[in-house]
Amino acid sequence: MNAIIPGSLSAIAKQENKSIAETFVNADCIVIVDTSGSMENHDSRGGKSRYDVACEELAELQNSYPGKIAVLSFSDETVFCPNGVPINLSGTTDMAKALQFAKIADVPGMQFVLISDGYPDNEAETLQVARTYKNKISTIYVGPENNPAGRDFLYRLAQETGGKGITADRAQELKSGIEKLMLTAG
Amino acid sequence: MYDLFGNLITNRKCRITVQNGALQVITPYNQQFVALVKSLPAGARRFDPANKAWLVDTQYSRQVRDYIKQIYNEDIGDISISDYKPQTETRVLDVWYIGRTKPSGDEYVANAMNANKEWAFIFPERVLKEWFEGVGNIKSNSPTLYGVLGVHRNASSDEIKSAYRRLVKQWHPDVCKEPDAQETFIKIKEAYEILSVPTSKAKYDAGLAFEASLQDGLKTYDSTGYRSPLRCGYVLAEGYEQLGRFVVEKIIDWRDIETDKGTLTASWPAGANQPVWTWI
Repeated sequence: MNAIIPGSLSAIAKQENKSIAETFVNADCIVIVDTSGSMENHDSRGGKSRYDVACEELAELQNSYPGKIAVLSFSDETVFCPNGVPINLSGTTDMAKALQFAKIADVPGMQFVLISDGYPDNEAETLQVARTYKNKISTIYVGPENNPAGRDFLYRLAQETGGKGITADRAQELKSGIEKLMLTAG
Repeated sequence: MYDLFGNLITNRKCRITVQNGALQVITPYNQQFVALVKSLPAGARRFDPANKAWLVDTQYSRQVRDYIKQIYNEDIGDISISDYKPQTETRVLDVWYIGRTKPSGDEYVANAMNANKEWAFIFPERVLKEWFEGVGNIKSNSPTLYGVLGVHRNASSDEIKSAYRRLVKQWHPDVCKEPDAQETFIKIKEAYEILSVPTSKAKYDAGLAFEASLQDGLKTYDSTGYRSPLRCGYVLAEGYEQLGRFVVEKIIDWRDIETDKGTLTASWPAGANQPVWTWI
């Protein structure tokens, strides 16, 4: 997807004629979005998929906090998305690899928000990587209400790192959820 | 007919010999011939004033013979070109000015001047990036902030500070006469503002790593010319001789040229026909 979301790292880099890496210096929140196959479920507002709604919410968020949010998307691979649009990867949910990928940005003052419908490929490995983080990882559960195992796992992950775990109603409360996490972090 | 020493006497005005893997072409002066030789790629030919000869890459032997036939109506015949393998050696180069990289054959290279103001050295872009950016063939036209300050990515805070002090003196708009001195000076200050603060530096490093993950998928890029942050220095380098110039394959060390007058800096003012050197 080539769209550049206003307020995304790419948009700011272009605007200020700087590299993405330079722009990243001012970012203080990394949103790691699960784009595995289950995010394709069309159970969100207006019959949209969780993924589509997550994209809309993230776009609004980046618009409100220009240059402050970096987006990563993951399934069995993890991809940095400076344009602000999580790349729809499908596939499995290698959350451990995603956290390993994002760990390079585990520098003082950085916040991490993990958005998923739960069910990583390997829970133990994911928690093991999460425990190596110096910063807190907050989580937002975007899966169905009648399937609490995924939500419980994300809550546990957040708890293990000292972060907060919240539930967004099928991705449509992501923006307010992340804002809430950003404002209450510390 | 042969002379007393058994050499074939000919009336030929033109001669081609093979020396150090290059053609040495000696002909009477002819403007059209010069224009034809100059139509060969810049990196494949060079005039050697000491011997009043053109040095040409052996792969262009057929063209050179054709040019001689066309201009002087002389048939040089076949030229025996042995398999020449250049010898890699280590030298200390007195680089007094290095330019921006330009396309030459399959890659981008920067020409560099020695103390005698001769374009004596060739630095391929990938070699400069390897030294200044820490990554060879980096798929970006813009230098990293480390490249702006000319330090390695694992440089200590003292090395970063020392490079910054040297470069702000070198690129200060009152001293440096290059057209983009002001812009480069600002970039140097911005780079230092980020790299001198540990948290910002850590974030920048993370940003570079994320950026690099995107570049992995790119196969090629179009260079717009890379410019070394340092214009001069004593450069310890590995390389080989080609057409009478030293082609650098690897930079081992780069030291400032310092005397009791100070540190040598160079810039090329817009419209000038040669660089300006200043001791600061």
